[in-house]
Amino acid sequence: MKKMLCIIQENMFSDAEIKSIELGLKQLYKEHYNSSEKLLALWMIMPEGYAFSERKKSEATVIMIEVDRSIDQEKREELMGKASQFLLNNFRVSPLDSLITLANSSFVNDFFNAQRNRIRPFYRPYILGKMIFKALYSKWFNGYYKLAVKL
Amino acid sequence: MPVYSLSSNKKLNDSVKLKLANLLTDTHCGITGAPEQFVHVFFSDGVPIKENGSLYIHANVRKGRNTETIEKLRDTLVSKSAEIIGVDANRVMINLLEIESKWIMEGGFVMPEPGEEEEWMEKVKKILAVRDK
Repeated sequence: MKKMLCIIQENMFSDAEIKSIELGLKQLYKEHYNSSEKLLALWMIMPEGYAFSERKKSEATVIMIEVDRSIDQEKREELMGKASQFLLNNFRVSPLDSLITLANSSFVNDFFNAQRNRIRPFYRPYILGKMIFKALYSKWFNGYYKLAVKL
Repeated sequence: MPVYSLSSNKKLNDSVKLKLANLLTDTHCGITGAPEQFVHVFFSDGVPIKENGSLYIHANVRKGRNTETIEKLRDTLVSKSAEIIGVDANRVMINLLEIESKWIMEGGFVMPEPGEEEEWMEKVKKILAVRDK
């Protein structure tokens, strides 16, 4: 299973819109990347005062999608472009406010490993358990996996 | 890009977070020459940082810069962040994860290699001009 991390700003999208974005990006991934592999979407919703872009309150939508290293550059650019257009056409996210990354699995794994390894080893099981619980809770009540920003 | 994710063990107040966001923007752009329009800084708190740390800086940055530049970036960010939050530099940790520019789209265009931003910036400026009208 591949991963997709979406970082957005609080109050930028409703729960229904978040689910639509997730569905749309998964469809694009499946159609344009021609992959039958499932994509696990994880959302980080930044509270006000927790995100800055160009020194100001951020309005950025940051999407990182994991792909196999075998994907060629033409396909990678096509999918990034489609994702950017999808956000613009359906959710009025300007390309200036969207950052789309199609990263190889090795990079995505390094990224998630770094997130885990920043935590003091003694607390790791507790913190990771808490994050998983909160993500499952959000999936149940909101319809998407939300990762906690305030732990 | 870059995307900086800062994790702290304690909650940082708004003024400290803004100071850190400015520091990261100034330092990153000053050392690498990257345009500041696309420097993103995200915070999370309540994280028990390894090795009794107070702050952990993770950054996704574009690949292709020399070791000297990366080391300077790393050292400056650690020492100045420590000053801002009032701790010793050894309580600030940093992890710079380098990523291929061609894997990233920002401003509607694939990111250029470090040092080759001019043409890309011209294209992005046209969109910025429309937005800022």
